[in-house]
Amino acid sequence: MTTKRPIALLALALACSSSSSVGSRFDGPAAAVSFTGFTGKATGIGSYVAVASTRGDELRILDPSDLEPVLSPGVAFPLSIPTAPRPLLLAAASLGDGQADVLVAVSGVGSPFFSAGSGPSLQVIETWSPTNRVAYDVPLEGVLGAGSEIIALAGVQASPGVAARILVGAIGASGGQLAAVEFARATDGTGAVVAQALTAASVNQLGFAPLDIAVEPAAIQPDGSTVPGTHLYIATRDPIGAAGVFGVAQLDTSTGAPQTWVPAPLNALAPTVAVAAGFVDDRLVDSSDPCSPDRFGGVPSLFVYAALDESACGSDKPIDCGIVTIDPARVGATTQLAADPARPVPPPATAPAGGNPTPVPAQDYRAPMPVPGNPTHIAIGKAPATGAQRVFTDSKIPSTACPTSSSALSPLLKIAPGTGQRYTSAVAMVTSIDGRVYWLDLSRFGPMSDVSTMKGSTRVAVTAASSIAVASTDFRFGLWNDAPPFGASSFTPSVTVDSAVLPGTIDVWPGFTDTGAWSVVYQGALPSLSARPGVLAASAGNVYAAIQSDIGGTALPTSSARWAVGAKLSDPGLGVRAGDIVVLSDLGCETTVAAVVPPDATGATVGVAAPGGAVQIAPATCLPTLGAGQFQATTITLRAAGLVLANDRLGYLGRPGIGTTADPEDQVFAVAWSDETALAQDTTDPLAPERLAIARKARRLYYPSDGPCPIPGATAGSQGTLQVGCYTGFPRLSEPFAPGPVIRFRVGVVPPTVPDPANPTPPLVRGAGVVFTTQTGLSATFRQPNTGGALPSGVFSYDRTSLSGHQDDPIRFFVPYLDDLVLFFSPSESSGSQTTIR
Amino acid sequence: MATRVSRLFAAFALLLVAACSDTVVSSPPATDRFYYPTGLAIRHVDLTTGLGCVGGSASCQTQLLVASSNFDLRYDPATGGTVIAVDVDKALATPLAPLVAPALLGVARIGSFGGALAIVDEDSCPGWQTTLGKAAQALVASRSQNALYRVNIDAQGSLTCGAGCRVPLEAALGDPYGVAVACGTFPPAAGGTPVAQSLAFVTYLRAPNSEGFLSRIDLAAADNPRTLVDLLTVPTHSAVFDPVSTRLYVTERFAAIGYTPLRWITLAAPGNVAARNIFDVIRGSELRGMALSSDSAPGVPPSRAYLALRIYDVDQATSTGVRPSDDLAGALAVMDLQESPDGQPSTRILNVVPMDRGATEIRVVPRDLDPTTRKPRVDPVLGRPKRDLVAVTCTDDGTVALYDDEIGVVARVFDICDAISSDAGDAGAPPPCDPGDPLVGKQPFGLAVEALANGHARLYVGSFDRSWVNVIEIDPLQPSAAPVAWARIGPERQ
Repeated sequence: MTTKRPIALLALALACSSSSSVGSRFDGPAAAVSFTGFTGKATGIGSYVAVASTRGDELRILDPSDLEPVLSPGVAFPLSIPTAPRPLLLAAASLGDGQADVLVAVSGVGSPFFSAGSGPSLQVIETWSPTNRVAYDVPLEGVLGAGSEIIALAGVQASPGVAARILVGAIGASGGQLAAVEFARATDGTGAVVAQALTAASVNQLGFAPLDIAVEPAAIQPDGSTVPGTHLYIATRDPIGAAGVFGVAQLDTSTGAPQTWVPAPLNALAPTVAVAAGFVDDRLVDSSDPCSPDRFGGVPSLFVYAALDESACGSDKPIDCGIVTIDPARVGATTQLAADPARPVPPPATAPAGGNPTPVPAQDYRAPMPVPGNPTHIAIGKAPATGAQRVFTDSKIPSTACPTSSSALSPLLKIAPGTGQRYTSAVAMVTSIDGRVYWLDLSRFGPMSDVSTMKGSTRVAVTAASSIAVASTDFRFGLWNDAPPFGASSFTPSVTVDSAVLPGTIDVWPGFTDTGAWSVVYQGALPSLSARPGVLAASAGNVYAAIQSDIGGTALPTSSARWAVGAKLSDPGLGVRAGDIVVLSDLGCETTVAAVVPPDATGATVGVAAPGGAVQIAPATCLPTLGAGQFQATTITLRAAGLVLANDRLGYLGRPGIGTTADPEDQVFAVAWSDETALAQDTTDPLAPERLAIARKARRLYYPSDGPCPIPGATAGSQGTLQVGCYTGFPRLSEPFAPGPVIRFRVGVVPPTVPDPANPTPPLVRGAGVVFTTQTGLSATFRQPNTGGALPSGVFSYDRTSLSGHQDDPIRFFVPYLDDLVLFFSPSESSGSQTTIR
Repeated sequence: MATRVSRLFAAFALLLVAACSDTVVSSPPATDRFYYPTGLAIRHVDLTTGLGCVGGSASCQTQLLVASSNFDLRYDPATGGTVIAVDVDKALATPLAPLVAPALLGVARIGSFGGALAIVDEDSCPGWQTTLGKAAQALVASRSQNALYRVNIDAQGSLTCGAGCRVPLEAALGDPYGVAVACGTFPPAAGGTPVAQSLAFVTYLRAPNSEGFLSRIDLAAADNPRTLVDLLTVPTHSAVFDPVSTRLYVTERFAAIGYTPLRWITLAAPGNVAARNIFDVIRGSELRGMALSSDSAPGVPPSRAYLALRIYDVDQATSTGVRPSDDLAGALAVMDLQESPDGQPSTRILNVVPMDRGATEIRVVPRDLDPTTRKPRVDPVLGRPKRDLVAVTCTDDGTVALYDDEIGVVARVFDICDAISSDAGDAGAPPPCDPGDPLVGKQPFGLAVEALANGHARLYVGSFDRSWVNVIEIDPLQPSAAPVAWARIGPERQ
């Protein structure tokens, strides 16, 4: 009696508490999913969020209306649903009858509760009563095979004639598999969900490891009804199908048993690790309509979005990294990547003063949407089902003078990046290994930005530029200032070395120019080829230089095993050409490149093995005398014969010429994308490999969302009303969305300020040139927890408008993090409004 | 009541006497057991030649060498550590039993607080035994003695630590921990002529101003000449050597928020220290162990590195100014080491895999080895060898994870003994395995891998707290499957 009284009082006190602020007490949440069912929190059926605590071996349930956990019967703690050790995956699916959903968990270790062994299984949670326990287990070892591991999970809502399904992606001894476990309502009146018997026909032998599964969403019909999707999309690192295509596998589930579904490859040019599918209404692309970025076609199309495997993408690969857009309707094309929506803008009938922009073609496919860090999960959010946040009417929003257009088929939602509110038809939230959740505006094909790309101090721009000083008796490099400033009554093109003027002489382009440091230097060292340890070797009377180090051992010098390669001199990306200057600093020797030699694994050409290639160097008296097969260590610098453009991130970018006339087209130099396929197939141009390497570095980074000229609402007579050059700092630009060069300028020279009468035309000075820095004009919008936030483990969208008191809520996202929290935020709300649930 | 008071008084008096004592009883370390084991290493020794052999072949003995740290200073505080060599196959016949001959091959006494253990022999350093005529050695750094111990291993596995065994390290630095062996032909300094060298690099967990240093020790020279390698800021933790590229990679510990460098030096081209800040990609990360992939063709540098990461709360660290003592999470980072045209490794992070807290040691488990060449076979579908299986000890949470780099997911976690099973312990692990205890024993730390002739692999996982070593045989091609065999070597610490 004595001990029971305090407990009773405590329980009473807790019961009388008006707030259940016990906290959710997640322990390593590895997955989260929404479901409909019963809990002890409410008497009727409701909508909840299940969270898998992987370290706690349990599930927690959140009430999304107040973000509080469902409490245990003891009230002092949140409800714990014990699972098999390490619950890692969750999925739920509606049975389509308005009753409780099927909710399943998969643990890293098989369930010991019901299974005879510890093989793969689904743990079915009792959602049909407030008991909320693991009701039973669906063992899968029998159909997946012993030792199989479940690595992906997805739920598919029941549709007419098709039962609710839990799709199970697994890898085992026989390779990748997909099992479809069907569930039905019990006929005993309990409301329980019952797993249907599994057979061999329930399993599809994919032949690749399914890393992530996306289900085609229902399509809205003109009459407002919806048609269920029938396709699955599976991300995988493995080649798909007999052709060995990398990308996403599409499975048509409309007919036949799962065993008969044939994976059709959707070529994304690289393997994928995460996938999502959604209907998206693209913005209009119309260079004659300044409001086109805020207008939509009104008819959404199905697109598949996939995160590329970081090991197979990048500027040295066929495609850059990020989130690709796949258009499943592009059947028969080489790649199913969506087409590049940006088209080149025809030059104006009358070239603007300062010359036309450099023409750049559209790319072969829509550029991947960049995500800082590595993307890990994708979720798509659309307008909420009802309420004020579901927009159809033409609405003017604060950040633009353009009214937004939409249709009944394509409701819009509001987004709130740092640049201001806007409307769009769909967003994607992408988790990254850096702990952040990045926002993508799917209707505008790219990342949202917290800073303006085209206006103000944040815009894409040259932030500083200077001419490298030389003696007053020498020529100095500068850049041609060709474009007159807005409103100038008279203007004469000239070469400038003025640091205040130089930034304006360099064209940058939204979506192409990245943040970086640049240099245009006469006889400058080729990037990464300065003062490198290397060897000289001789063969057949020629002398060769290779940047490699002798690592000794028993291997002969004619074996590649003898050498550690320092730089692959024959790689076209390094830009070494015949005629370049070879400086052997320790030997006090300087000569030139006679030829670039491809990798020589046996020393047949070079005299010693040169696994990274070599250069044959022109004879010079300062060279040491080497017999055939002999070699000597030295320090090598390779310098360009003329000007060389380099970037701290991109390396070698080509060789500008020197403009000598006021003609704005004289020796214009631009780093711009060109057709990679054509360059790769070009066998006639010896510089084609180098141009291909540069073209890959000049791919589009992102799609800007500013409108074409003129700027809507611009004051009459102001620069903003110009048809070309309406944006300050972009004299040749009329449409930010159009493709353009990464960088464009014209080099010139300024005569000596104090000429030497004895030498009035001195040679150009080695090391002279121009250096400058650029910024990209993009600060990717993201959200992260206020504190903590390490390793997000998933993301999904949630619509609260069906919940009491939340009828006008915007769409929101839940993001579980492995450091014991769940992030909750809306893309319609500004930074700082996110909630961290612990 | 009187008796209780008397007992309390007696106990108090005893404590008082003990506290006033000015002598410390110094007992030698136990030689029949591991005691807070840290570093582990495996050797395959042909008993007829004393050289390396293929595990499982005739006359080939598998030797397990274990460094014990004397962590609680139960034994002599100065030299209470040991290196113990056991014949694995004989020790497996008597699991959990005290280590005696013939399972026990040798014991050598070293300083307390030993760290990682490296082997220098013909396998790790070609020519060491055959050309230089030297005995195989186990290298362990002692934090209490600030010294590197070079323990001789004879052909039968007997250990001796005689003259020249204890090599003093930098007096101005503290806590030497990691050891890596690097043998090859390198110039001694920038611009020098390459000469054959047999080197050991020792890391220091502590240094003035949180700077990073390595000791470079010439193992072949008579007087252990030592040079100090300055790796700029941030104390060093572990070092791994790639003989193909001659790069020595060094992981570094926490020194400042926002900077988590992985550094490397190229021994064939000395002079430059390169670095990659992991914090740029993985916020709050701190490096521990590192392993290089085994799937590259001969003569080609490893394609990937695997990094064990601890993740701390950056916001708490920022507000308090110190690194929090506990971690938010652990992780395994997969790093691309493909060579760029400029000759540098890419170092792009390809994947980050959540691990349990306290990710520490990491080893690759080669899979699908050619029985003849002992090199990974080319998979006919992939056109390349399968990527490695990677084992990681997560010391804080008491688990060991197997990451399958071919799929990019964790294939198996050895976590806790089955909470449902009977007193007999977990069905998948040997006793003792009380419900709720870590399967491999509390605080798994040291890790070693042995490729077996039958295609399987043995994981050797030392439980720091329980002081045994798990020997877990797995099929690397079926990492999710239950272990083929599992036993524990060495008695449980009492």
